[in-house]
Amino acid sequence: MNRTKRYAAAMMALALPAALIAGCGEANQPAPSAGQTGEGASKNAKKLDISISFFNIGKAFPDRNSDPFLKMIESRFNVNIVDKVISYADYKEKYQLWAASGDLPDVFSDDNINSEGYYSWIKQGIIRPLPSDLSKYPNVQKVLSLNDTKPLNVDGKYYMIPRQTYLEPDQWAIERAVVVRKDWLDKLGLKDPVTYDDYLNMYKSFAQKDPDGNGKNDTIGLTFRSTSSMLLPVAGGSFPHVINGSWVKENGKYIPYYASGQMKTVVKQLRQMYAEGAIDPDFAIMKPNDGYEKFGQGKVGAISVQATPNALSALRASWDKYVKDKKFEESVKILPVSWAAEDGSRYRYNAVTFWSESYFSSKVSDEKMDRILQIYDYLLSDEFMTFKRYGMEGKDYKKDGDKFTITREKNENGQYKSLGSMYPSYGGLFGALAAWGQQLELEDTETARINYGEQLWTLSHDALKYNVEKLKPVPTNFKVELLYTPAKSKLSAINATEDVIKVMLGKDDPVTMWDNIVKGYDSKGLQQAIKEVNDAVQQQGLDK
Amino acid sequence: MATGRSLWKQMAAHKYLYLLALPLLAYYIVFDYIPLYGIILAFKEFNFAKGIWGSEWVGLANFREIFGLQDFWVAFRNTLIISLGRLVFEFPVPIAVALLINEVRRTRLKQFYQVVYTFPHFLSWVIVSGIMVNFLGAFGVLNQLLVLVGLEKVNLLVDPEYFRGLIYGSSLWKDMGWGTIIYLAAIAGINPALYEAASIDGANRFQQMLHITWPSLKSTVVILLILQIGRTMSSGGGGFDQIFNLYNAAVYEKADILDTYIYRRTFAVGSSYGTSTAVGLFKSVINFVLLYAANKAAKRLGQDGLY
Repeated sequence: MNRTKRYAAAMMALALPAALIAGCGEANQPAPSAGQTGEGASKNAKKLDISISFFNIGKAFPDRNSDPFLKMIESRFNVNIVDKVISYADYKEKYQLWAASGDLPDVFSDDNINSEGYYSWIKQGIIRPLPSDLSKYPNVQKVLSLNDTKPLNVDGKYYMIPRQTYLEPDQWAIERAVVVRKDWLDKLGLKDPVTYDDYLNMYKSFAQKDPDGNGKNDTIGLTFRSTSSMLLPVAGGSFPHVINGSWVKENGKYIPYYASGQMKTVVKQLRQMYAEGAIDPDFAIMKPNDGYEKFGQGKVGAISVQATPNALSALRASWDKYVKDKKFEESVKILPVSWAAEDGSRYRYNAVTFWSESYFSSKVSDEKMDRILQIYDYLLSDEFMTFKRYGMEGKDYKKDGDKFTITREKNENGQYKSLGSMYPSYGGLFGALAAWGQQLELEDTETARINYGEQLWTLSHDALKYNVEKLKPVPTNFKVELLYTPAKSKLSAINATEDVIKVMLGKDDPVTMWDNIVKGYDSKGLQQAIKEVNDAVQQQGLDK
Repeated sequence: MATGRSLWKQMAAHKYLYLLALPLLAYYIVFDYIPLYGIILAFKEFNFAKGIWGSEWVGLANFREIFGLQDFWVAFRNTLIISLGRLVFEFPVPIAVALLINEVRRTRLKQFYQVVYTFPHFLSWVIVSGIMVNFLGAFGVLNQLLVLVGLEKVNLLVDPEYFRGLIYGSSLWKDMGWGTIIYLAAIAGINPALYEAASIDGANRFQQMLHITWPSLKSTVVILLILQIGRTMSSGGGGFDQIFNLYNAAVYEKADILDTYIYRRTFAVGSSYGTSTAVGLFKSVINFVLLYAANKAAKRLGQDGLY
């Protein structure tokens, strides 16, 4: 408790300057006159402060006065946006602390749905439900009436807005992939790997055969963008369900993937890969996104990562920092995340169409909630989709009937500037606040090519096409994934990836180690959860 | 109660001086005593909406829950072992360093050593852990040296066998100089006449150290030892920051202390504040008992205790 308090104090000390800075921003902003606010003038007469926490928000407000998009939002809805900074590494901690100290922002992002924490937040009145009548916000209403979001109400009320990543599950196909150094493959005379042995051999060769030709033993086989989510999928050829961490049906019963006997092969292979030097020896002590950095430094043969245009451009940004003589797009190749299964089939990631949700503090008044939902409704509208594609009309593009002409600014290299760099509040917050909208990255449009560069976009798009056509989605019953039972929600206490890491780095027989770990899961409520889930599947007929 | 009355009289006579103590008193009440109220959370199921007082009483349920967890006992054992290790490996070093620095005759050189030893204390554990990862990682300096002399690479940070050694070693590197300050201050307070007399009697430097410096230092050592024992369950100063920044899934079984375990449990699982408080209270009670016992023992052995 002592430590917790100390952290709370530290966090608050950190939050304070942020709040001050935010406050200064406010002072500099001219209050919009009634005429400017247009439609909102009479409806949104009172100016409201809305505090928001969102994953990238730390980069959203470098200079509030030079961001036309922020000005547009603030005057259109007569609000003042206050940022409360979180990062991917600490958002869970910060929300807990803020909740305990009554300091939760009005709007915050988390991936908490159906966990024990989610239900206790509802029970304890920390988050507020959406109004029961959403007809004033048709775009929000639409999101909550989709097939895979409709069942998410609790006693008839919605306590969050799911942040849609894609419009259909197939678009997840490159969410897990392995990006490899094509130039190294060629140099070492390796063919595209298919079987486990091929993959193992490829990673080992990257690590041991001096592919960068500097005469030193200083290269890495396979690394990860984030060990927690990108490690297990590399063994998906041996057990597909590790790719998306889903429940699997075995002997007529649903069990979490880590309870399956097939995990034995997975831990054996991962141990072998680590022991034989195929996997980055430092993988267990890496922090999220360290992998980007490592790959960029040109010492890594392969990285387990998303292969979406956005993720690839992050990888390219790191590459450009260190590698000057080779172009990223010409040096890499995208491979399926794992090898072929014994029957020859290969699998790809799939999931429900959203990742993470927007939550609203119970302290948000009805008036403020209305304002927030107006903003969300706008961020989910076709109008905003057009912005995401083309930017601001008149400035970034001209519209003539159905024809869009890009007039966007270019940088010193003659490439179009990204919307995120011109409008940081869009890039760091609003672009993804209500929905990730990643399907736009994949769309075959001129702007998608402009945003990510023709070559990089094509690389990603080809991989998507290939994966969708050639690989099978992990067979997943999403109804079981979204199902809530009390014991199932408590399984969040199990961190199977951490336990697999322990086995990989251990010295005893991996299968024996793993068996003991799984036995230990029973004391964390595994059997009870399996029973409850299968009873519910029977009763509600979820198994079809 | 004659003394009571005379105390009041005395205080009344010096009332303006006592007034000066008021802000300090207020400080302790506000920041150290009022928060004690939070301890009742250990016996409650915390509900954010109802607040601490309004939440439901659950008796000892929080304690039963944590005592039933296997991981809790692993962390408990590790806490004891790491604290004991700190006592054995870390505690004596600053004393030795202080004695050695004291033997350096030239003042300039003495100050130089002191600064060199003290400096690492001002780096945070986040930075030190970053340095250590770079130094000890697969392609770090250590492994490059090992390869150069033809030895196998080692991976100290993910090997449970070596982890505790790293913990002791790194906190020695960081804090041994800082720890000497209090001893050097005690040494500085020794009357120089004692040394002069001893040297006239023919005592050499070593004998002077043994018969003058050490006896004068002993009571300080005992007090610091008692304080260190009183921190056993918190694994000494910096225990959380250090271990939290250095450990990983592979070494939990040897490295996880109660503080880090509770931190993970509270934040990763989002489990109740009640159980976290229960562990905190459990720790504090053990710490208190140890502190009390150590103090008592010290007094029995003829030393000045803390109180």
